[in-house]
Amino acid sequence: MTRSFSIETKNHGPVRVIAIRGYLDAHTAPQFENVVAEELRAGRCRLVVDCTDLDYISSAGLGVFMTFIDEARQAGGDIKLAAIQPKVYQIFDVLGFPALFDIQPSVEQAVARFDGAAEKD
Amino acid sequence: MKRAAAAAGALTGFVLLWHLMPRHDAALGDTQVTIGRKEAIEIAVRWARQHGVETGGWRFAVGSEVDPLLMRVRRASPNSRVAGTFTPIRIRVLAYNSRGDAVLATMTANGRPLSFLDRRANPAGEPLDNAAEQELLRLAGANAGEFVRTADNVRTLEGSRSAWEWLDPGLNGALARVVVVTRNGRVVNSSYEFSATREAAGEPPPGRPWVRVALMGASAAAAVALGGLALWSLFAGLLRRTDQLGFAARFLWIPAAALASPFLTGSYQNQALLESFNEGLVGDTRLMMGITVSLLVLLGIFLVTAAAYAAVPARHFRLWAPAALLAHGQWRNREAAEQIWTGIAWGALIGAAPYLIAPLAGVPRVRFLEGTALLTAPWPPLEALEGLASAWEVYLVVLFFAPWLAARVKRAWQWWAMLLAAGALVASLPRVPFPPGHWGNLACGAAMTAGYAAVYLQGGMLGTWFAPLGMYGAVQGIRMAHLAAPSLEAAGWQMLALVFGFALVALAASFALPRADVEGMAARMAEAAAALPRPQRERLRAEFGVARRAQRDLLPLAPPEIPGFEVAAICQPALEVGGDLYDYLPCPQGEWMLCVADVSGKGLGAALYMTLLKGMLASAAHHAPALEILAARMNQAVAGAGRGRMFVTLSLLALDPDTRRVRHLRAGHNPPVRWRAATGECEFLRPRGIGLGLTAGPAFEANLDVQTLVLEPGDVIVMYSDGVTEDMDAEGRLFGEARLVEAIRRHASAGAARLADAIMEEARAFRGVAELHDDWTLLVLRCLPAAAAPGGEASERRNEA
Repeated sequence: MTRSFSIETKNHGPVRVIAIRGYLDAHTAPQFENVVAEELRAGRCRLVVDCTDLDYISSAGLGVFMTFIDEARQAGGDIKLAAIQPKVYQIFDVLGFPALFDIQPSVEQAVARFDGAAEKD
Repeated sequence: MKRAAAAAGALTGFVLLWHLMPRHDAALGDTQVTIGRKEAIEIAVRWARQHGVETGGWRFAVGSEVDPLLMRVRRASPNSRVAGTFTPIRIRVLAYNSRGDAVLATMTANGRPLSFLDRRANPAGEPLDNAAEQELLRLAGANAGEFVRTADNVRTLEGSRSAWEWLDPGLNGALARVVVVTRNGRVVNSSYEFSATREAAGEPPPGRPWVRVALMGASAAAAVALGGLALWSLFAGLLRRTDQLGFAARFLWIPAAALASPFLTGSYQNQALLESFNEGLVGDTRLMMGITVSLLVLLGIFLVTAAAYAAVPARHFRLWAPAALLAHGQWRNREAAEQIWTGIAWGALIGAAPYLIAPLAGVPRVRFLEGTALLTAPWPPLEALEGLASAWEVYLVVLFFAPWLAARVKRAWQWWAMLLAAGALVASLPRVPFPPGHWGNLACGAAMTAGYAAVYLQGGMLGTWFAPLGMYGAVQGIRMAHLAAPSLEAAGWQMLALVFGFALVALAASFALPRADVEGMAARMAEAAAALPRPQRERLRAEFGVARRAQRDLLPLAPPEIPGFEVAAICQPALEVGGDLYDYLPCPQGEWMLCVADVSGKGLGAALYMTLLKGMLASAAHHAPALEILAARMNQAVAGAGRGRMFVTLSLLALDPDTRRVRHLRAGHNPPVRWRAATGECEFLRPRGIGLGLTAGPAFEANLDVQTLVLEPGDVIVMYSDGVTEDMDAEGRLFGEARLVEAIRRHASAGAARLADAIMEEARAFRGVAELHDDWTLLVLRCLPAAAAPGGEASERRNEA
């Protein structure tokens, strides 16, 4: 069964916001992976993934976050997650993601966390 | 906004063009139909009664018919007196009953009787004197005096035949003939008919026969060659991929609906009844034949669609993607609705083209009518175009060659040139009233092909499939607009309502429905098309089979025998090989480790990691370290091997059967469910823990807890992979934890194996027709109830602990 998935990227100040919608699973994860890889290759390592409209994430989708988190952090940035729906958050939570990732209730708050870090630098 | 503007523009265009269409009065002159269906039946009933036939309770079929010879004579000699007593459109009313009695009454377009045919099983009634002469007076009216008797009660098989003829004084070779057949003094067959020689109709002498035969042969050979190429392409395609037949089959309903619409709306039945009467029957032989022909056309479309799908190149996938999305059950699909209404609108334009071009070219005149179905040729050069509008073979050429050629030629002009040539070739077959190879057929065949090619480029594959529906609708609408009495065919309105209702629904849906992922679908089609050639695919499939068997062999054969406990497990992989694992490992000192693990992703890669994991667990169990140390080691191993690209979730129980003490470690895995026999309630076991391989840093150990619990007799622990709670039905709803808990509560006391089976059954029932989308693994550990437990020893030990 095909489920829709789409990605939209935009700038929020110096931070890149990647909004993902729909079903992030083994079929759609490669699309997401390409987008994140492209951002990092272009030197944009401060990423906020806006999960407002993310309806489902499978282990393959979670794998994308794992793949790039170290790379982003080594480059001085981070991948922060924002506005995750409760049922999707449950999946992140079971896996122990909150201990590893910065998860914020809204995109603005996630972006603000970068600003705070920038000031500290 | 853009689509709204386009829709508004299209509607305005339609209204403009509709007003441009040839007006009925100007076009048909005295040939206009001035009576409707109701009047025609009334006239026929009266006419039958005069012949002694009562038609009360009978059923009626009304149709119209055109006499092309009469039209040609009237065009060649407008002042012919004899021809002037006829109208080129005849109305035919068939009255019939369930006993097989039937009479056919024919009349002119304004209701004057032309013929009567009595085909009752037992014609009865009062004999009349001079029945034949009275019939002549009825039929010929004021012109009866002009007729000369040519046959006087000649005995035939049918009855006594009398005939009269009226030679046209001003036109050599044209005459009117009245024939009356009587039996037992009653008229059983009478007709007032027109006859003329070729010369009177102003026709050129026939061409040289060998030229005609050669042309006919050439175009037949061309059609066979094109059809053969399509079939060859289909079977050659089958060697590369296998999904095209399934794809074509899924969409067969679309052309089937278009073909069925004349039957469903009843517009075919009338005609079929009248034609079956012509052949000496009253019944549905013509209808059956129409259905048979339609089924054959459907088969053709099926084969051609499959061949085209096998041939379509990657840059055309976008045109096919909305259809492919529908095939995958995505009905809420704006692009599909757009393609459908675009196709119907373009189809309608193609059907209306001959009537629209003529007035635009300043020729506001309908010259010729053919059959009951079409008004032909507003402008003589366009006669062929109209005949082709319903030509399935031209349609099939585009259906197949548009994608096929696109895969073979690079430049747009080559694509157009070759496509138009193919369309012209097929259209050059003999087509009444034109000889094979007629220039009009060639030119109009190319034009028609161009129209359908535009549909393909604008409306994609769905649009191309729906175009014939729009074409039927347009032709029906034009025909009704042209006949003064459209009510002759009651089914006409139903047909129009069906087609334009469909178009409007699709138009509305194209605004209301959400966008679908056309790009994603096109990308997936590209992946499928780039699939390996069949021999390699077969080999891979075989290797996958080996991998799958190997993986199955890695899972324990039978549950372990643990004193005081029972264990059951089920694992169903979603793809050919999966990433789920469960295992039971005996440890030194009689302990057992039970685990369920899930490797991220599916398929071969996940299965390889699963194997790695199994080895690590077996080795760890042998050394029986503390669970925290075991988990930390495995985390390092997975993080190292996976290099951040994969991870494993694991739920691990270390059971001491003697004390019923269980230590539980949960590395990012779904929390197992514990059911307490004492309360009948469930709880989730959620110690902290991060998935293995997610981080190689100290965060893993810092966030890891090991939970210790003691099971009471009858207690159950259910471990499962996320495939269980995230099992989806066809609508995308998740099975969820609540259903799992409910199922456990209901069946927990039934025993481990029966509980596992019951959960699997409930999941299967929930899933319905949907496919398993992730590995589904379940492990049940049940502490046997006290009565079944091996005596009081266990409880004593527990007390010691």
